[in-house]
Amino acid sequence: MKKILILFLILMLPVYAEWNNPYSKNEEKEKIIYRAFSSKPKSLDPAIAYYSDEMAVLCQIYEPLFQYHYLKRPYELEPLLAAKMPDVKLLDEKGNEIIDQENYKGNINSIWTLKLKKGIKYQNHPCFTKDETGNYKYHNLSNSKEIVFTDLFDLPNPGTREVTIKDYVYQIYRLADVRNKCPIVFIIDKIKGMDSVKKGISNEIENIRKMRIEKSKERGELVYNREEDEKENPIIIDYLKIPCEGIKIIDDVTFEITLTEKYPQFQYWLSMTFFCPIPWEAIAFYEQKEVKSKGFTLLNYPVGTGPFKFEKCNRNARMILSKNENYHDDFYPKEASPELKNFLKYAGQKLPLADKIIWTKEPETTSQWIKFQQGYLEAAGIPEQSFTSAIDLNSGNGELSQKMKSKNLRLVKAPRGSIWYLGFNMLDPIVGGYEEKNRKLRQAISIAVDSDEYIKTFNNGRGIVAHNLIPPGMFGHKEGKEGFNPYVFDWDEAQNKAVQKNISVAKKLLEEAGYPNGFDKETGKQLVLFFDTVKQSATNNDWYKSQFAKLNIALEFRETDNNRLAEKYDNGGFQLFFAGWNADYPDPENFLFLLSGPNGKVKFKGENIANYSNPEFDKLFDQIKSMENSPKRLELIDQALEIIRKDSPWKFSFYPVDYILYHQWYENVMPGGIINNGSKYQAVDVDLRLKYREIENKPKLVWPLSILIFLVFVFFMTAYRFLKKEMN
Amino acid sequence: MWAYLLRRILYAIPILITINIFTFVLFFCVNTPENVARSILGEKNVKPEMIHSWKKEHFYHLPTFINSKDTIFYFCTIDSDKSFLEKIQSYKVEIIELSQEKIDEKLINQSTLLKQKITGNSIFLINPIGMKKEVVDFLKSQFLGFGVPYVLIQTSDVSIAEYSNSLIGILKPDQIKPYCDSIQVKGLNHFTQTLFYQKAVQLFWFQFGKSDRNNMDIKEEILTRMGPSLMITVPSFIIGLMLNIGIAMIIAYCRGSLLDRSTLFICIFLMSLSSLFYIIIGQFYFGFIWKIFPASGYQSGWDSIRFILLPIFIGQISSIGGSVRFYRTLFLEEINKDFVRTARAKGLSEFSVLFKHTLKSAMIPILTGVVVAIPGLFTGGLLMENFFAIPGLGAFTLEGIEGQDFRIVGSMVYLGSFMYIVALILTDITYTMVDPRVKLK
Repeated sequence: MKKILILFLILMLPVYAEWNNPYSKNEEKEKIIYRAFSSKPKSLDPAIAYYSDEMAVLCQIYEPLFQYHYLKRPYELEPLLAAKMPDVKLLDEKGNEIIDQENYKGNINSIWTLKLKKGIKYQNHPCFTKDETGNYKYHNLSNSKEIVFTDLFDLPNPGTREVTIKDYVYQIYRLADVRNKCPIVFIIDKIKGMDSVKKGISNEIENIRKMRIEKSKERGELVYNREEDEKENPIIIDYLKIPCEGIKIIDDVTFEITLTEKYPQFQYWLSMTFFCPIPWEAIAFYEQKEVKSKGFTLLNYPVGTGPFKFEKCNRNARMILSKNENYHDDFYPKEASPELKNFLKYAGQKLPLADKIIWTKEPETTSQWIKFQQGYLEAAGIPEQSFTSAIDLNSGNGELSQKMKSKNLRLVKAPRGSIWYLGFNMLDPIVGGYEEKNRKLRQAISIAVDSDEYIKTFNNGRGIVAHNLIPPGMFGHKEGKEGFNPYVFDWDEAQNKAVQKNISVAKKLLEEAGYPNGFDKETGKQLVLFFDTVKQSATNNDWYKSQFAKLNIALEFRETDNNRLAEKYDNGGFQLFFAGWNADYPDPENFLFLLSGPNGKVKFKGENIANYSNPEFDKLFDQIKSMENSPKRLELIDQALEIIRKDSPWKFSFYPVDYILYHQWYENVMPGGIINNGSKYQAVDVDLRLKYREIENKPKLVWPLSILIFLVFVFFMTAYRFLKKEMN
Repeated sequence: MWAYLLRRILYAIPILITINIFTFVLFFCVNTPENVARSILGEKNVKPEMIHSWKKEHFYHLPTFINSKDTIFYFCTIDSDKSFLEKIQSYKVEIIELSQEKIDEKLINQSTLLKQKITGNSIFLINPIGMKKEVVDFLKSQFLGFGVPYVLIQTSDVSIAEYSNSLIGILKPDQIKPYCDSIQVKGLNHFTQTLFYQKAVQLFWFQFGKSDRNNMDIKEEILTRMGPSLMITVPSFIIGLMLNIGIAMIIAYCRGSLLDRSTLFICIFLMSLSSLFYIIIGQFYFGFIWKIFPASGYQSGWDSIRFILLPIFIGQISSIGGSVRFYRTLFLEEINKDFVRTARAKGLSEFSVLFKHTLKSAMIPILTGVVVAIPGLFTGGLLMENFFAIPGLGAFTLEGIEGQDFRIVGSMVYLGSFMYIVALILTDITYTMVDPRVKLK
């Protein structure tokens, strides 16, 4: 028996060279990009999706009007579904164009004229299918009992149609509909006449409800259960019936959006999937009881124009995207910024380059890391426990270790376009306030807390010490001597870098602030500060305590859960906090607004958790926000940064840097940063991958088999010997 | 026997109710709905309307145990006519007096407070007479997203048509009562329109509803995830049972020998290590170093075999120690009994003594352990499924815990305890089958 088993195993060897291949054998020659996801994206509805894990999938399926040029840095917008970049006209209250922008004071309306490409088609989908008479075949499922289906993908003859201008407008109305819970309503609100649209939508809903009540009375029903009825027959509104002052369809390919202010950042929002076309047919199809009750909704089964579309699969284990056969002409860019010149191998080729993208669920980083090393995933972050084996920390600047280098891996260090900071609550009587002594206390703390040490200790060196709040790679960020923070650092000419000020400077500042050697001058008690956080590691807390101890300030942690912390932020009952911000779009406005007064957390429920409010800064911010990038803007940003550095409402901690490893066969890939639709540019060299997998995945049987055989042998031998003894 | 079974089933009911109430209090009363909504909706740009509409969608806007009368909010000015309110005395009416002139900070504060207060079927009655149109419009715009019907009330002859693009329209004071009656809670709804009914009571007939975070149908999800879980647990269970009993019998047979002692030593060694250790080591050696099995993942159909072998193997290793020792004790206890001695004295071979007599009578304690383990097959292994990325019920529960999705966790806890009780009843029935002495009365 044992011999047969071993023989069987040996026979299997050539047949199944890679036993540990988690994919099926016949996939290996296909151009598939393998990725991992840790939890199922919450929503794939472009009116709702906002988080990066959702965007990673969604942006391959839906397309907005504009996109970022894949190979140009700093980021530059280019048309995607639009035919050209938008024309923006500024109008005054009377509707005349403003010529002298500099001196115009008063309300500004801006008109955005958007032109679309022709001939763009949706992916094939049953919601477009028409029968012989020209009616939608699957839109009336409750009356066509002969159509039985268990899976959306089983419905025969999925159709398609061209994108029309109304689809874009339709989507904007969807964003305005409160029922859809769009997270960026505040952007939609900038469109002229949106208030009346919202009212129109609610009135429309109410009218339909009234009609339904009357109909139910006509049918002779005693009680009309609204909630039940709406669950079965959701109210679908013909949005386009409702007029909107700020949205005007000019002709088949042009429409205008009027904003009630000058808001150049609107172009960045137009390049997010919130502003993609959505066909009304999809809503009509998905809102049917027969479809919805089977779990098919727009939330999970997108209908887009993008390079990829969803395939049938078990979403709990994997998500499969395959090439959209109706994808419009789209070609690999021929130009690139100098630093990205080596990405031009595929210049001019038709996109997408890969045939499929498969996301496999990997809840744990360990298995992800194993699969990456075996060549079954194209990219991976480095898990905490394997960091030292992957990165040679002794080399100083984080090079790959010898072992990893021998595998031909590519390490890319990418600043994430975000910042972490230690904030002071400006409403607090001790750490807040705008007087000289308050300011000095904050400056002293800023000097005492050593961000560089923090990055090295807690982040394995993956971060850049922050000197202001605009991260590198963004307009307004300055490197080196020009950009260092003179309140916390000194410029060291010899080393040509900024060096943290000596602690004695901080001590002096603290004394001037009224706390000589950490004791309150008036009460004589030691200064105690409170740090409000969620529960975190004790080492982290101890480190902060040690930093504050340099100034003889006692630091106490008040740890709670996320909800309580959010509550504290809302009420203003906190002193120190640690927070971060990820860029929505590459514009300094997206960071500076974090400190603008009208965005204060306590008063206005905004994102300014520090509740910093300095009229001088606010005035500068108002100017900066509506300017195009120009030397003048840079100058104003510098002034604004100077004010913030002096007031120190934040101790700028660091800009996080991602370390990502790629396999050599994964081409044209870079950490996206702001670019979410990069998959269509990416390619895999299948032969190279196959070769790597073959080398890396030869099963090693000698050890496990011999251990197993030894154990079984020993067990049976002893049993046998015992039996023999018994017999005798 | 039937009477006994019926009694057992009746006993189960209070147990299930207690479990239900406990989990409900734990999951839905400790955290306020406001907090649940916030943690689900995320941190960026969450508006009160969104929180309210989310709460409504997931029934968190309902009162906890009893839906008493809903509040009617009456907006008016200081000198407005309030006499008609007597007609709706039976309702809880909250009078909100506004400054008629302009939209000031006080008004904004009042509306923010109100936004948190709105529950169930609140109604806004607005008496616009004497109020500026801006104020009325402000109120309407503030509460547009909340789905609260607001009604304009005409208390005097002054025409208020200019305010009237409202959700319900204009009513005369004597029309108010029938209107309020028609939309307020009635009869059983006092009980069914509550958080407790929607989240806990409905579990009794397996109405799990939709999950908080992903809006997915929990029942559907449980059915699809059951397959992968069973793919691992059932083979593990069967192999484990045969292997462990087999080994236990062999070492019980050679009790006291070197084999017995060394096996026991290994067993104790194996059971002292946590299963997480085996998972990590197994994944590392078999998946990464020796490359025999995929490190993680799952495919449906025949292809699944490659993926489930390693988890099954690890499951065996981590449970073998305890089980073998347990079964060995059972056998040793039986082996020393009189009837076994008699059987031996009759000259039966040790082999048939062990298999024919001892195994049979050791069956009762074995069954107790085995049948009770069956519900565990359905709920799957939390850690195992998570580490091997198997889309089963264990991973589902863990996802629920990690995402603070109390609906999922509550459903799984209830399902687990329900199956446990069913399994206990089944154990009793199986006793009668294997042991003729046992009679259920």
